[in-house]
Amino acid sequence: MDYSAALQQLEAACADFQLPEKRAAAEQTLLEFKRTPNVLPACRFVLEHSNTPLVQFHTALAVRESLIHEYALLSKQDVADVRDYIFSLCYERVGLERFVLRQLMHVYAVILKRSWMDLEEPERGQAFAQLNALVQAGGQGRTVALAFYEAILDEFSSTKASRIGLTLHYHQACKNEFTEKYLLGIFEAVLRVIHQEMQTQKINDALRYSTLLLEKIFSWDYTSRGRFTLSRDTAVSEQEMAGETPEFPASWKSTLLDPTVLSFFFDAYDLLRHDEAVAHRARQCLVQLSGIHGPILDGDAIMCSYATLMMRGYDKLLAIEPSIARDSDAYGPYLLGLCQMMQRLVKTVPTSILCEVDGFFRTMSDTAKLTVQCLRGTVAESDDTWNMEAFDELLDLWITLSADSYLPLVAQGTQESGVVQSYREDRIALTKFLEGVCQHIVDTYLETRLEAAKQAMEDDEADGSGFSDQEVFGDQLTGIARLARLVPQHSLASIQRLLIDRTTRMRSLLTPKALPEDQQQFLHFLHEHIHWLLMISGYVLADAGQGEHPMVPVALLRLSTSQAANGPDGDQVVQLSKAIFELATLLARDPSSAEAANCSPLVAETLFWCLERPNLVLAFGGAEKSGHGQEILHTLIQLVHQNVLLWNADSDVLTQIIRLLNGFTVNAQLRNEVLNSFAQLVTLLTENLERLPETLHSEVVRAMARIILYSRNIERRDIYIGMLTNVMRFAATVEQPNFASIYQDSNVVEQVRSMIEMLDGLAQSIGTTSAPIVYAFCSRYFEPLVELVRVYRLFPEVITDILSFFASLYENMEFDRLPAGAPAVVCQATIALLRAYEVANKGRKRTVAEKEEAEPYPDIVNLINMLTNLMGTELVGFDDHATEDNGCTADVIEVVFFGLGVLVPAMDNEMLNVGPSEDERFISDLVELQYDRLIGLPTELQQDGKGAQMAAFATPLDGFLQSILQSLVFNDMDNGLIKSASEALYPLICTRRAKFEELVQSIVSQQPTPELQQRLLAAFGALNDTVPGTMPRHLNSTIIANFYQALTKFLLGACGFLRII
Amino acid sequence: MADDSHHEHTFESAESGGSLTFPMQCSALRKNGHVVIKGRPCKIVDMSTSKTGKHGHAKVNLVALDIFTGKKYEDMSPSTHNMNVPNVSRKELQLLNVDDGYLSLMDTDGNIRDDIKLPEGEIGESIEEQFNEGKELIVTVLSAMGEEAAIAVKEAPRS
Repeated sequence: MDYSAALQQLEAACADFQLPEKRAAAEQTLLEFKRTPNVLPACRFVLEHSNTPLVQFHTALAVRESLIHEYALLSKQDVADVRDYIFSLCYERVGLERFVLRQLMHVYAVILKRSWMDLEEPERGQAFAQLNALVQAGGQGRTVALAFYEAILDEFSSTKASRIGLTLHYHQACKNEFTEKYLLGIFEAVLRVIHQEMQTQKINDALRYSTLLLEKIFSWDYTSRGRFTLSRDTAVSEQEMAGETPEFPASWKSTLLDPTVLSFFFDAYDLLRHDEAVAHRARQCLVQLSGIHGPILDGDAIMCSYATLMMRGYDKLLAIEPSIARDSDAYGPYLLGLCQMMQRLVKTVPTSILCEVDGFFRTMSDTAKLTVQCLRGTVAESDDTWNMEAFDELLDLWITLSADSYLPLVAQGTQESGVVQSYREDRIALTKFLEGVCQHIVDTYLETRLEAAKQAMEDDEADGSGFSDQEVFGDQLTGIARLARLVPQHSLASIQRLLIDRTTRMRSLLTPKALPEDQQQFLHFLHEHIHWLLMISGYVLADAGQGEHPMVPVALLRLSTSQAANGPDGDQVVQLSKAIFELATLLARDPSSAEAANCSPLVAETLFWCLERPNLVLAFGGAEKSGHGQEILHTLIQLVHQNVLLWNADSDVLTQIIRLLNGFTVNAQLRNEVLNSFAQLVTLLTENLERLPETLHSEVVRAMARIILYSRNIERRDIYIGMLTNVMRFAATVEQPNFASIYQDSNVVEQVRSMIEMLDGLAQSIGTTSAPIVYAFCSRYFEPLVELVRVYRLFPEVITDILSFFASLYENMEFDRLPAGAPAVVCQATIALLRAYEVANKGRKRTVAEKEEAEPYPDIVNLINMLTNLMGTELVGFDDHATEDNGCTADVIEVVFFGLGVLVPAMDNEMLNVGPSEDERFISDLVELQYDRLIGLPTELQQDGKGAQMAAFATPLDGFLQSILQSLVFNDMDNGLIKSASEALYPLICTRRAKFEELVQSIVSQQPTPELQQRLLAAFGALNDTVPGTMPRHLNSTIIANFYQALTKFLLGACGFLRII
Repeated sequence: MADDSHHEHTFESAESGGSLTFPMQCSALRKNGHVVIKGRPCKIVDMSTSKTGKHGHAKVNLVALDIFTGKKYEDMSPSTHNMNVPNVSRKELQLLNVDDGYLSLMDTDGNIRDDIKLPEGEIGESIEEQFNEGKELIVTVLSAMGEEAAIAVKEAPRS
């Protein structure tokens, strides 16, 4: 190879690289150069003679590629020579561009890692000793050596390693050995550098590199669990790392936990904080340092001395707070960093030990002041998020600290260990301290949130985030609620006082007269205040969560019990609930009244959100005890009634109301109570269904049906069902004599669609006990619906609704609860429906516009859903509960195949590009279905037509098996996918065992050593053993679960040496 | 079925069961449903709600296409207000002849109509071309608010 010609070529290519028209050719030249065999000597020549940075950069890449690909051909000495050459190039050559230097150092690190296992222990040590000597020498060499460390740390880490074509196992082994033997040495060297460089009181490159390295060391994964999120191109984000605290091994104890080292970090920060980039890294190190855990902290004494030192550090940081201007750019990050540090420490070190720390209460009372200051900061400037984030960290800290205060104290005198005994006294003191803090924080929170209302109203125009306040502030409110419950008496009184005050003000504004401009403004503030007070009340009074018997918060229960003697008027929980009800009653205005215009839909929504809080109604313990439960429910239903009238055009409020109704279905007692006052509401909702927004129709019916169908009182249930039938007006609409002439009228179409949507809602409400009732109700309409498909063949929207109803029916129906003939009826109806759809769809051309809609091809999607759901029913017999031989399986499969016959011609290529989620589920179900078909075939039948059909499936099945196996074994695995992969793999191995064995053989034969081959063969064998030779009659979940376990075990064992990265 | 066509055509009288339009609350309108905007029957292609201010009442924003001309209209209205919805009907008629820019069509009862114009643009061309090839064709005719027009064509199913 002519080296100088190669150099010229590269120079030309790199110059061309900037010209768009020559770029492709230039890229090709560079690529060819990198792929040239034995290119290393040429690379050396180019690196020595070229002064063009881009040429140097690409040549460095070529060295890396060549070394990775030709490693086996090179002698150990060759590799060492290349490494030494790059080392001296970086060290000795002056004037290299920064990006070239970085690239060269990266290549150095890659070479070191690639040859790691071939190097003797002293050889590895020598590489590090060489760097260490440079670091010690100081000057320019120090910076270079630190940069080398950075490249090496990246390469040996579990997050930034590059692909070098070796197994995961290799990567892990390198990382583990590096972590064990060399990382601590680097850490110590870096600390020494910082210590020395700090003497100059100036921030230089060496300090910058050192903090960068420290940050990397503090976010290092010290465990050997071998989790690799590999490669530079898919490096995990910093945020992801930020959430994790380092788990240090015990061997780091003497260095890291040395008191001088710990306080050294804080001293260093004091200097480093003057350069924002370095300060950020230094803070991150302190944050990580505040959360260290693992074997390094063995024993209470160690933990206590660690916590003490950290706490003293925070005191220092707190002390510099007044010296940083609040409006400077440095303040926000400093504040957040400090709060994060304290939060981490409190989270890591048990409270009992923290209480032992000297000056703990003093630091915490400073922290409390800081908390309040953060809260005030959130309203001082509207676009400031630092204060809010810092407050969230501190909120977390207080919650952690107060966790123990909710627990009852262990009685004195019982057997306790020394620490616990002394902690008992500390706990009493701590609880008392925290109560004071919580009062202060809760009050300030209320105050600042109401103050922020003004900002919210001003920002309004720009508000486009689309997130509700509950979504944005939910976590914060949950936290505040916990603090508030620590001082329930005080908090409830504050909230109640504010709520009553705002209610009174609201009352004075709800007049029929139009409000003057200034009062309008005031009204808006008032809405916002009430909105926030309701949210806070909701969070304080009840915890989120579903369940038949939601827990009433213990603190409130205790308060309520202690106040029970004072009667309902003395019970604060009851009083606050009452205040909410009074407000609700005030706001439920007649829609035709003038003051209705002054009501806020958002307040109505929040009000119902608040009333919907799990069992808030039942949580009014006092009310229930005093026998007012029924009365309250009645009022609630009344409120729903009035608000449905008032807000029938606002889908947000209605959605919230539906949620409230759904909440009633969870608890049996509540459900039955509700039914007493339900009739009027059912009439209202069903008669006005058409007026409600389209998207809610089926949800409304579902919510009602769920309450009605679970009624234990059969008589009453039938009355309600009768009401539903009446409002369906099926007979009145469809069966009227002139239907044929009016069916196209838009209002008739509307009625028909509403009707089908009601059926859909009903189908969605199916539960175990209601299945027969709903089936009896719906099956009457099977034939008329099929007829409607024929009538409305020109109205795709009607057909879509009908398909959607059947899809919902199959999704929710519990067929094993139905009478014996039901499945046959369903099959028949489905076939008829499919036929009618086929006719209606014939010759239909889809417009371009249809493809561009947000949810294109709704009919096709619903048809797929319907067939998929049908396959998922108990009728097909995949389910554990399926009866052994119900005789229907075959029918249903026939129906599904018939459906496919209709579906496939109706679809075009364009459609395959949409709705991937449905498609995937459909296809994976189909595989199971085919499996079922295949095992249904006795071997002697293989010769006839069906056998041929099976043969037709063989090729795609083999392909499918191969691709699943390939992705599982060789590609980055996503744990979420293994479950579904196992569902598909099991039947595939079962039916295509010959192909499976062939694939296994080919994978095994690719292994380089007999040892690995043996290991892999054993792993595959173990997997194979879980799949029986004869195929089970039914695929139930136990079989799949067993196989899933075996597969996971196999992957864990095999991937280490199979996955090449 | 395709509702958009690129021609305009007006008739004095068109067959209609009852009133030409009926009122409906804005919030209850449906996407792909119909509405009258600026006196024209339209098909709703996009519907969204918005609020003026955090505590404001909901408004419905409508984007709709004239079902005869394809012209785009936009409208906004408080969600509690009523808007007019046109009574739209669709018919499939057998094509007998194309003559001098008019279609000759027959319904299932054997009634013949020849007052419907051959539409301009793509659909018109498609009708002429396929008719000249001797295919048996079914034409979809849309009528609303006194207007009527052929908006789609397909080959008659062989049975």
